[in-house]
Amino acid sequence: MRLEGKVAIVTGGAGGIGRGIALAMAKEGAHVAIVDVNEENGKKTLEEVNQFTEGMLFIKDISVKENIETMVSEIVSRFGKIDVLVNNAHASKNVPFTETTMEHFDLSFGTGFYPTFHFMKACYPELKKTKGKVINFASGAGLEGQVTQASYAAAKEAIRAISRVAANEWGPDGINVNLISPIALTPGVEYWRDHNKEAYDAMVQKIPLRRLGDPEQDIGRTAVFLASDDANYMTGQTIMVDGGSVKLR
Amino acid sequence: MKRLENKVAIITGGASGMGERMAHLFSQEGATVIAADINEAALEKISQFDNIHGMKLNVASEEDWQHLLKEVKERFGKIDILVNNAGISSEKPVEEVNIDDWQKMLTINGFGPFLGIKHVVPYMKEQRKGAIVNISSFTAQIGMGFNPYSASKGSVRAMSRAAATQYGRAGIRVNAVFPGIIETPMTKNLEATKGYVEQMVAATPLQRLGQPEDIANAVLFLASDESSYITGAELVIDGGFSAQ
Repeated sequence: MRLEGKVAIVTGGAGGIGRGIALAMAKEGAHVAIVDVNEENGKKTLEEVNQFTEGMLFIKDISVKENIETMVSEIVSRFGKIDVLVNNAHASKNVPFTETTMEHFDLSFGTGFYPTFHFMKACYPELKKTKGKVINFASGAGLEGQVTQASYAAAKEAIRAISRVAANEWGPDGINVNLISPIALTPGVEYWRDHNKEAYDAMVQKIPLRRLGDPEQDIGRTAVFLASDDANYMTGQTIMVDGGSVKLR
Repeated sequence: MKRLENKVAIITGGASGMGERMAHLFSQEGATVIAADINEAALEKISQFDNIHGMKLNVASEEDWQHLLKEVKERFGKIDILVNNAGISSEKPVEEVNIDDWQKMLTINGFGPFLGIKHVVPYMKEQRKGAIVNISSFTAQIGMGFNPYSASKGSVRAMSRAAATQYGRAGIRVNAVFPGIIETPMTKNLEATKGYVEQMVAATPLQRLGQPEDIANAVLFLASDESSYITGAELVIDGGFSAQ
């Protein structure tokens, strides 16, 4: 197995893309600590992870920095190390630019950008010991400047920026920092599809591969690649897992 | 299950250097590998391994491509993967580069992959599935190396994106890998630039040169079904050099 005995943290790991990553990693032998606010889904996903390895579940608000530090030390006391950090959680609201307020930015940066930063900082000493891997999340919203996404796009590009800085600073420590920019058919998107059939079909028509990605098979397995030794010489990069939608410049 | 179980893969330049490493990795992962190469001695050597079939190919010859693909299809029934890896480099100072140097470089490094894509696409269209991986270079991403080599690798980058857009709806994925400086017979011979290699390592965040397996592992990922939703993407495997 490609992640045998590794210890991974997946934020937002209870559902959607995070769940897909948690399962893909557990199937390759990793112990997965799931961090989420949704207890019901968290318990379900933990049970699924436990069929393959040992998981941990934290129902915690990651916009509180102290929570992050506590979780990291609890994970280390349970598993003895951290090999992989996946910063996937991110909440935001779609609002036209002129209606966007500070509260929207606070939500997006508070749940996406700052937790990514604090988790990276808190995990650094452990990642240094394991020559570990950080996987952060970018978005077509930021790369393309999608409408109504001001607060989300800004936070996502900010995450990309600090990921590159960390890749450079932590390269000599043997830590790899990369990003995935996904499109995936999550339960949230399924719900949207079922209520906006035409808009959904139009969106799919714009994707060269003519489908949305699968959280586990497509996004999860790409995360496994980035978490594995196969990606040891790759750092500071963004992998587009979006069916060919965005060609990075 | 192995990661390339039951796949048929063609790797150009597959008998030496990075291509040879890919051929062995692919075969370990369950693929039937066609190592297509112009070097007959290397072909003979690599053909001794199980599930690796050496076949002669001059990537710049349209006839060679047609013949190779027809034979692979007849013998193995399908073509799942094409890795356009074959290429040449040159240390000739830019002041001395003439039209012949330019044409040779662009023909092998640019026209070669073009022909590969042109001729494999009809087979992959028929299967409604296929994965093409092109080897470009990090020099095509950053401002480095004013020479025909960078130009040829830039052409590979442009072709990869265009082919990905054009053939995505046919189920064909086209991606590119951008190696940094990799320790191969090709770079080991760069005695004249030994000091330069040391400087490069010092300037690379991960503080080492790439190894052929670093590239082979990335190509394996892009060739496998694990990357089913990735097309038109660029994987830069350079220890973080170009991310700075």
